[in-house]
Amino acid sequence: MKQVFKILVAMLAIVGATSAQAQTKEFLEAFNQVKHLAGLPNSQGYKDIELVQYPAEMLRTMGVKELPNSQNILGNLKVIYQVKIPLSGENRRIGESAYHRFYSLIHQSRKPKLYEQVMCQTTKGQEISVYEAIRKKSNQPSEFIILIRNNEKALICDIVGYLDVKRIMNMLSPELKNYVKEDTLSISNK
Amino acid sequence: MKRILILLALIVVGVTSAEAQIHIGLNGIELYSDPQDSLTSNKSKTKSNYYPYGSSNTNTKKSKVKYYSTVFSSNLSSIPMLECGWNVLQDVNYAPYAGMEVGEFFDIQNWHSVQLSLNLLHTGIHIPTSKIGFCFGLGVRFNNYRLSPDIMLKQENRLVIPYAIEDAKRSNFCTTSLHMPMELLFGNPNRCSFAVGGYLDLVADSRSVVKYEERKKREHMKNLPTNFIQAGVTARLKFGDFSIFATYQPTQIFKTGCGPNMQSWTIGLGLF
Repeated sequence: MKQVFKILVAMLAIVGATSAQAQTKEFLEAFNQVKHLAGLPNSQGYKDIELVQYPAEMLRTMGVKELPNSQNILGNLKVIYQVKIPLSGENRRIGESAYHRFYSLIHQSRKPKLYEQVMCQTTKGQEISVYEAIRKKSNQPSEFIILIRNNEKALICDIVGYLDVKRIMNMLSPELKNYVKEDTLSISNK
Repeated sequence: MKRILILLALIVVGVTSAEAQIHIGLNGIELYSDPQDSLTSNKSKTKSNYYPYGSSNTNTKKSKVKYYSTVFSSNLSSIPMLECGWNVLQDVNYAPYAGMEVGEFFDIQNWHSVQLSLNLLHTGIHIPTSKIGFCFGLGVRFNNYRLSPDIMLKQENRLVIPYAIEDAKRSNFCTTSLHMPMELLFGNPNRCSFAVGGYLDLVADSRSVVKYEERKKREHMKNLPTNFIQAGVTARLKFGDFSIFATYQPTQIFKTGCGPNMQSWTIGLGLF
């Protein structure tokens, strides 16, 4: 009987150790750092950076029309983080610095790697990249980061929920989808 | 059969043809108000169909939004992958042994009588708005009843009889069955939820196993007359990956007239 209890305790310890939070800790740290910098009284350069965190419960109250079960994305979302960074004007260097903070987090060379690239496209001066967080446990919600930038502004969007790549790609705006389609067609024609 | 296949195909098509309610562009995240427009061509879409964060939408109060989670996800199931419980017997009746001096031989040691279930398939459907879900699973269940070490169960004229043995370290009565649980879930399966339901066990094997003091010496008596179908009810409290459950099995372990009549309870823990 003692052995049974020992096994149970060991299993509980393993469960406790591996039940990490849904959000990648490093991204949250970077987000909070930029938020802190934007909140400082003398940090005028960071004032133009817009940071947003919305839980899915809040999004559901924002008047989205009813969708059948299979088309419902909001039902599977947990949280969305969004960082909008202007890359033009006087504060370009600060914007680039903030963007690089997130970019280097995603592309960090030290192991274990946090994210793997799902998609990347650079076209007409615009860059679109999609990354997926590497999960240790299969039953954890997925996390995707979407980076979009051009010469004027950049967007970093972190989405956590029970979603797959296909649904994330569906969430790209029609304009971005058109870019992707055009590029894919040009590849297939060649 | 054809209808079932067509229904399954429709479900698969429905799941894979998801359209977005949220659009992400360089201007940030935009909520999509009219899903019908997303099915038309991109040219016909107007900016007025989008509601960026913070913008006001007069339809907020009118629209009733239903939110369903993904169909068939193991994350939404209250049934854990691994269950470990302790068996307790109730109302043990030795009526088939009237006139025989067998004593109360099925007096099990509760702490050593364990139940182990491995639900290899466990999945569910959940409706977060009403916080109700339906879960089902399929797995294997092992039941162990620790008997007194000086007896072993044998079958004689379709009746389970205790035989006296010596030098035994432990004596068990074990069953292995195909386990099919079904539960109705209330609450959030990822946080805290309560589930009630039932299960159906198809007994594949039953045997009396004796382990002797002498190392590696074992004795088996297979195919004891157990009921092929055993069913019961389950109540479960789930906290994340951890759950506490209690089951009551009103069906008899042994076939009528072939062994002691009894009902069994199981209290235990579930993981994952």
